[in-house]
Amino acid sequence: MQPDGNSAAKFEYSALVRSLGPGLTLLARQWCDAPEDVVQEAFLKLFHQTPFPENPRAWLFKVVRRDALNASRAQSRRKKREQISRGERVNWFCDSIEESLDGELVTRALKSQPGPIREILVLRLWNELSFDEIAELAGISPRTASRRYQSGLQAIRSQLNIKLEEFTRG
Amino acid sequence: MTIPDPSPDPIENKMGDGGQASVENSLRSLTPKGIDLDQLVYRAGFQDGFRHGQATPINSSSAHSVEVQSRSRRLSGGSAVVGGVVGALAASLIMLMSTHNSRDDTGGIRIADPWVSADGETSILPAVDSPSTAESQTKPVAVRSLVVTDPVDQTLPLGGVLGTRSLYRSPVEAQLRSVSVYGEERSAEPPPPANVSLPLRRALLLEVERSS
Repeated sequence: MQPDGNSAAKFEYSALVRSLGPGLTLLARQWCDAPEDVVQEAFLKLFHQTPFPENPRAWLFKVVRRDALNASRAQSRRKKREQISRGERVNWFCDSIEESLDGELVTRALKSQPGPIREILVLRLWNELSFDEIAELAGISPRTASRRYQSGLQAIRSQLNIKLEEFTRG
Repeated sequence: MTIPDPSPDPIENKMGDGGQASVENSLRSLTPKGIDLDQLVYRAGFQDGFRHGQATPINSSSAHSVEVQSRSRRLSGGSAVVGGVVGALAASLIMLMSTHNSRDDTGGIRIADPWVSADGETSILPAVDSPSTAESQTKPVAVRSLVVTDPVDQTLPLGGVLGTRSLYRSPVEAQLRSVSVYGEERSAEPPPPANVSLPLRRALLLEVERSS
């Protein structure tokens, strides 16, 4: 896939932005306060890449994670304190009446988890990465990734304090 | 890349396979908030199809818009020149007419003043109680050609020959001026447009149009 390619390439560009945008944004949100900027910059960097990456999906995850971490380091402590003290209601998910789970509740449950576990949950649940891919991205073993994922999932479930039946739709 | 996941961790059994699958499915059913495609398009230098000198405008799928934008571009330079010439001629004509109207009964020349009331008295302000018909005869009318060039031309008509680039800013662009980058204060100027290929820009625009 080349930036100056044919119509198939155009379709892939659109598909990349549409399919990976939300998940990448959620991933960046785990580390920084301006995830949209990070993801947009990553897409723009991708469009500039010459030669174009063979695996743009993996490339995007790597760049977004790195840039989000860099952005988080650049954030001032004062700003963090302000945001914590505000205690505002945050929803990382789109509002939809069809969903059985409340996005704000899930957001709160996710935020209560440590960053490394939260990141793995996001990569696995909303970006559909395999444990091998997560391990490579996070620099851990696949087994560690799996263990963190399981523990994080269980913690979220208990935090939401919702029974199994309530999770299922209908 | 299809790499099989490692064998399930023992901790998975605590939740049970069915329970875990249901929790996962429920969580996956939530859609994360994504990026603003309009903003991405803007940051890709998409807001002005001619800014980077490409041959055709970005929304070339619409023949009408192509024609309108091309016309606008042509007029932005040419109308300024024509407007300047017309304006100079009109100003000369106004001066002549004002001089002619301001001749008093003795035939002397009075200093021309655009605000000459019907009774011949001059004022820096238009006479409020003067009849509008008389006022319209003496008050010079602004030359329309200096103000309006073409309804589709969104450039500033008095920008001169140098002002050939469109100075029109869309509401979307104006709104984006307040967006922060990396959570910091944004500069007054919009970010420099990235040099993104034309096929990509078209693809992004189509994506935005489809989503909207």
